[in-house]
Amino acid sequence: MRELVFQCIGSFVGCLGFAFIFRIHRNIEFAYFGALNGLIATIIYLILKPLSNLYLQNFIAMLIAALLAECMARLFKAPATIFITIGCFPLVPGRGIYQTMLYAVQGQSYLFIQSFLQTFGIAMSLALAILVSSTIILLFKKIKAQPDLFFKDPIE
Amino acid sequence: MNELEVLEQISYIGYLLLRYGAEIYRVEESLTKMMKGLGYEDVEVFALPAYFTMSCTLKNKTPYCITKRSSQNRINLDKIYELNNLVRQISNQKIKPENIQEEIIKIVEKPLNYPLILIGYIVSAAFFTLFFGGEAKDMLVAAVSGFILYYAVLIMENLAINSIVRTIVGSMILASISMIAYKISFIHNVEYSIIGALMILTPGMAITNSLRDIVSGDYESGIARMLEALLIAASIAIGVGMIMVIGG
Repeated sequence: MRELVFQCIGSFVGCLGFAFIFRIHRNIEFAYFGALNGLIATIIYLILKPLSNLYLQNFIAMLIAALLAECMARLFKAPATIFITIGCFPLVPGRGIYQTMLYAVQGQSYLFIQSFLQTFGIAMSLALAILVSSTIILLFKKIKAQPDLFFKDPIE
Repeated sequence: MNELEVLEQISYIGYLLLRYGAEIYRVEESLTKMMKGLGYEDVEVFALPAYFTMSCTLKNKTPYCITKRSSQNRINLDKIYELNNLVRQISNQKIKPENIQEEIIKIVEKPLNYPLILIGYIVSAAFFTLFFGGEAKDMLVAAVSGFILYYAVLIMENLAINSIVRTIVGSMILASISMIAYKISFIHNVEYSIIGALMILTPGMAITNSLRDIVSGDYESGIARMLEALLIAASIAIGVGMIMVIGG
């Protein structure tokens, strides 16, 4: 329990720090909302732990964080990248990079390949989540702009 | 103020967007919207991560084309937001063409708050160490790494060293600080402080932007940035790995 609370605090304050690194100094509310996004991603990741599937956990957490970021972007009339960039950090596989390198240095080839593939897989599932959420938003925008989109010849 | 000067200012906005690390589709869309908003025809814009070209037909029917290149890009989300607002105002004609230059200068000349960036480095290194399961001593070591990393990155950025070398050197610095702290038995496990501090160097922005570019159909830019992200992740691993080999 104590560990979970530490993880939540760590992700929120850590993301706040990243907001400052990426030069969000004047519009401080973006920093808070970006960090909130990171916190929500962490909480979803932890809730989904019973799935015991790292890729699915990362994918769903990132998907929800990215969709939330798009909502925040509409709310503030600001680019969604701001919120996604800050919110994705708790899911970035930092431990995976470290462990992959540790096994490589120790010469444990089997563990090295295993953790390399795992890290790569996590990165790909994050990528897929951003891909899906961006596509959903793009479609949403298009349909909102032209409600009769479905009944037209696409070439014209 | 004549047409050419206005277009010069608009291309400067595009340059700034690239420089502060906006997505490619945002650069293209912003420039197109602004030029169409000001009433130019045959507007074409093509952008790559460090370069863009825009062309249109002036009101007296002469063709106009300008290209700009920006090689040293630094992420600044505050300025992307403000430029985005300015772009919206220009394309909705809420702002007179004469005043564009003034507004751009207002955005560009706002000074950076360096102490806050330093705090960001320290806080995010320390709290990501907590996030990955470290204790108070690990957090302290990571905070020191963040502090030193800030100055190292600042110096290397000012020397215009490329981002791969920068990341390798940065990750070597943070790994050696943790390794020294471990050798003098200040901490019991090098793992947590290294992972916490290396989060600063991870290419989160490049990954996000590359995917958003791919979704909007800019495959060249998307792949270029994806490659950047992969190379940076590999350089982190190389830097940390070198210190692990040396330090045992």
